[in-house]
Amino acid sequence: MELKNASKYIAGPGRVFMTVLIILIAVTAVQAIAMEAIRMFAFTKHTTERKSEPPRSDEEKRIQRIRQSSRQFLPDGTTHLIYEPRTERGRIIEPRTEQIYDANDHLLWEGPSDKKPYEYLSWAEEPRNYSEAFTPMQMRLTQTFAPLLARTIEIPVGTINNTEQIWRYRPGAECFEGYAIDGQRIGYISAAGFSDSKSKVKPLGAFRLFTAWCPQDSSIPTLLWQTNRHIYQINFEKRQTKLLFESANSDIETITLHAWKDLKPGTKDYIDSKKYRPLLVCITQDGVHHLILREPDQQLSLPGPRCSVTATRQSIYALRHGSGTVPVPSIATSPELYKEWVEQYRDKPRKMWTELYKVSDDGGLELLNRYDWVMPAPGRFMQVDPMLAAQRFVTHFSPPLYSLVFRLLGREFWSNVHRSANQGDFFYTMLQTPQYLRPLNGTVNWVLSALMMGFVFWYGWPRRVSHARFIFWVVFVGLLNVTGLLTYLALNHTAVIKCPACGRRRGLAQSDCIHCQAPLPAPKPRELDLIFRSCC
Amino acid sequence: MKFAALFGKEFRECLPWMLLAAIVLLAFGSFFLRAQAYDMNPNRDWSRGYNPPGTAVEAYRLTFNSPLAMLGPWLFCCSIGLGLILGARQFWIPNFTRTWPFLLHRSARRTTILTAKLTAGSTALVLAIGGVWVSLYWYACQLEVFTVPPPARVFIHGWILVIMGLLTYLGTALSGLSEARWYTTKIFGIAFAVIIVGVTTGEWSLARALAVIAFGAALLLSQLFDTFATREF
Amino acid sequence: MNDTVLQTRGLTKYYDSTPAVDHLDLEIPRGCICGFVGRNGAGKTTAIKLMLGLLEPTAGSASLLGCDSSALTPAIRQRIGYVAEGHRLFRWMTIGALERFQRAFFPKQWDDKLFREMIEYFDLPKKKKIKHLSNGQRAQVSLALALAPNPELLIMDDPTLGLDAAIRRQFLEGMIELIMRQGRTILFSSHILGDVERVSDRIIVIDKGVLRANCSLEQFQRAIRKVVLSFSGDVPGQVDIEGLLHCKRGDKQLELTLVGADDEKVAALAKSIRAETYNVVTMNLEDQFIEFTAPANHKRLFQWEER
Repeated sequence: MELKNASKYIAGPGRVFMTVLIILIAVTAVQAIAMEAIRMFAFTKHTTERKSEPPRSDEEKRIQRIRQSSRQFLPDGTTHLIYEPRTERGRIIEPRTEQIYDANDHLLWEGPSDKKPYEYLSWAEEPRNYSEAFTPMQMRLTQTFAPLLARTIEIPVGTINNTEQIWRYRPGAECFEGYAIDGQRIGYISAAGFSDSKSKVKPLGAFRLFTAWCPQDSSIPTLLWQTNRHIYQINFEKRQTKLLFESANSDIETITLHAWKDLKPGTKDYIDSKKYRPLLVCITQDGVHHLILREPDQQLSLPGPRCSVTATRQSIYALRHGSGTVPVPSIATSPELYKEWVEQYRDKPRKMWTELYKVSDDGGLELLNRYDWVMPAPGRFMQVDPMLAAQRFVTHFSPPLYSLVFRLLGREFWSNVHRSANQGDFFYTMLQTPQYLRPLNGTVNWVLSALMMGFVFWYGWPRRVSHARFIFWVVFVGLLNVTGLLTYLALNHTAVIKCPACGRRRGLAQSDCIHCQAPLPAPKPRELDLIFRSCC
Repeated sequence: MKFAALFGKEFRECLPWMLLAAIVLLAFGSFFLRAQAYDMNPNRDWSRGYNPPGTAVEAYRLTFNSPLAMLGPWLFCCSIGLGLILGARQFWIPNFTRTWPFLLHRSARRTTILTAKLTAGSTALVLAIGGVWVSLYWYACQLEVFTVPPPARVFIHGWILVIMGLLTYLGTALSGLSEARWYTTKIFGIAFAVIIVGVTTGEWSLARALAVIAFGAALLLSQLFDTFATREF
Repeated sequence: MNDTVLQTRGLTKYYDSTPAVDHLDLEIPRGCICGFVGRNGAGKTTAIKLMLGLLEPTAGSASLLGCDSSALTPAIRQRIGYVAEGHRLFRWMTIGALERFQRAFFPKQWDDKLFREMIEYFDLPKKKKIKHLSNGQRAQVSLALALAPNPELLIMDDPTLGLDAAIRRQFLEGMIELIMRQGRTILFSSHILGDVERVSDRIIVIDKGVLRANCSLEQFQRAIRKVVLSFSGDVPGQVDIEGLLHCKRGDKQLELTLVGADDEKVAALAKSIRAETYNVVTMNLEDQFIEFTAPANHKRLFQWEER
């Protein structure tokens, strides 16, 4: 195929795509900057207004105290409200003191927080990001190219002064590969345990999370390794992999730990193991809470809504929170729902409750206590208009195509995209653009697009080369709004002259007039021209 | 023969820049690598992986940069820089020296001329940056220097940085050939290459990164061949 | 064999909405030397680039050696020599390297002896880099590079621009050397009409992109004449004659530049306007060109007398 023909079919659409992409990014950047500027302006205005508000009454202060208190339980089920006094602007007053109220709002105790006379139940918690646990996002960051190339997860085995082995995680093979310090390969640690041959490796599975600690008798880290369906405990010193949990039907959503790490008293995150049983709670996507307990070993399953769990030497407890209204949707993901929510619930107080259960050995729940309170209506604090107005204004210039794509792909698709983006996936973060910047006011957006289409019609009609291409550009600008218009202008700058035959403007992209088919005007010959064919 | 002549001429034009980039990268790379080797010989410092018994380990303390990590930014900058320079040398400078008519009026198709140019530029870039990268990686793999060899993924990542230089080269070439005015699409070639490089830099999946690079390169190449075939000189 | 080596049909090129070359119709037969002349910005370079397919025409077409300019094949290009305006060569190359580079594209027809002779004749050191050569030396290298492959058609864009008289003469001699070989054709643009006069046998005049003359040099020189008519009384107010280019009034004198007026016509004219005497002034090509391309109402740059 001739180069010109090949380029006609490949390079033409490619050029349009390239130009659209660049202009789209530029327009999106301008939109984001404009939105942030308006948001900042609105926030400053809001803060100024708040400062000039009258001081709160005693009753208002009491309600706010209840709202800001944490609700704690004693092992016998008694509820206490723990409150740290704050300034008018919500900051905690130093030195830190605590006030403990009972369920009837009577002050029981006040003093420094480390000297309180009660010991409340502590709950299994998710390993916190980065310092305590390694998440898929961090795993991905180790595998990005820039700026420092790929990093590795390496577990040293030996002593601090004399490392003997290194176990390096291989993301592709989903296993650990061991090297002796002289560079010789020792073997692999995988779901199948230790093996000296690659063929015996059984991959651990898609990585979800790991947390590490040194047991009381060793300086070498032990890992709790979570994959989609499995939880392993890996001991590199003993080269052992222990399968703690396997979910047959559903992926693991999250894990929480309590006294699992076998830490020394006085060290970070230590929980008194004489009072508490080591507990690992694994919540699968079907909503089931799988309790893995030690000392003695025991496994339980709790169905039903999300709860916090703990296990003392005496009993196992579950804690559930409830609310009388639907939760506040995020303005970023769904401005419409957010606005709807604000309009419906801004002036309505919310009923809230906390329930403490005792878990029986067969997984049954027995209600021990329940605490109810009312959250005041958000009222004027729920700012909606400036932010929404900013988004509404800026998205007037977004491509109407965004709305179509958003509707076409459905909410489930976008929530998946949102979830992946939250896990640090750059690709999905970019994919969120149509969701965030889709036009909120469709009418204005389409009117603007129509105006731009009109301009393209006026500008492009004399310059057209073919009707098909002309129609393509008009529709293109209609679907992409200002991005489309800029793309059109960038790719279609044809000179125009006035046709001497019909008097109308005509482009020079083709030799004959698009209106009357007249050729380009030839210069008038002079009588004195000396043009002779014969010569030489 | 014609291709060889064109390739030779183009390669010779790239040669000084190629050597400069290779020397800069090799000098800084060797310096960083030697510094790492002195710090870590005979073992790498894994001490932060150990914690007192009965304590929690902060997970990030178990992540380690490879000894070649410090080379990453240098490799990136040299690769991108050389891509920009070679693109400008081969496709912008002839606009100013007005040598296009002399080059194009020869008994070779424009496709051949462009292919020779691109092959020479790419070869220069790959030889300069890729060659240095391979030698530095080889050095880092010597057991007596760094004990445990750097993972193969690091080697691949290095090559992806080299390919990013190629993308920048293609983008600069496209901008050099563009007949548009500055305020329209003149710099779009470079801008597109920058976008592709940016997307790839933030990408963790090797397959996806390679797909993005392949897509970007295909688009830039198709534009280049089209522009070169239809452009006025 | 087709006797027309270069042909254009309505060749037109617009820059924005201004025509740089406007409906150029040319036919250049084999074996002739054509001087392509025009004022600055007349469109000579644009026309040459259009002919060589370096520019895309807005309308019309050109063909070289029977092949459309927009699709010149390598085989056709091999038969065409081109010396670009300003002799832009690769500055970092030595003459020897440039020779090797050029030779690679003409493996069969490259005349090594001719190239060597030309380089020796022009006294050019082969090891010298292009960037260290003077303008004149670069022009000589360009000519040698263009001539060594023995092209059937040689197109040169202002090849003598910036050269001194001696080098120009050497250059022109080189061209004549080429044309002495059978069947070679040369098209060259130039500002220097003396050069055209010396070597061309055909002249093409282009003005503001429009073809104004395309004829043999002899026809051109014969066609444009200046006649000075003397009057004993008043000079006639209005002169209405065929072929009048310019008319200049003096004290009892009338200076007319005419196109296509032979001796008989001039005598008849003198009689009709009752001139006492008339004198046909000899014009060189430069004067003829200036008169031919000057606008009817043109003004001089410095009009001191009128002040």
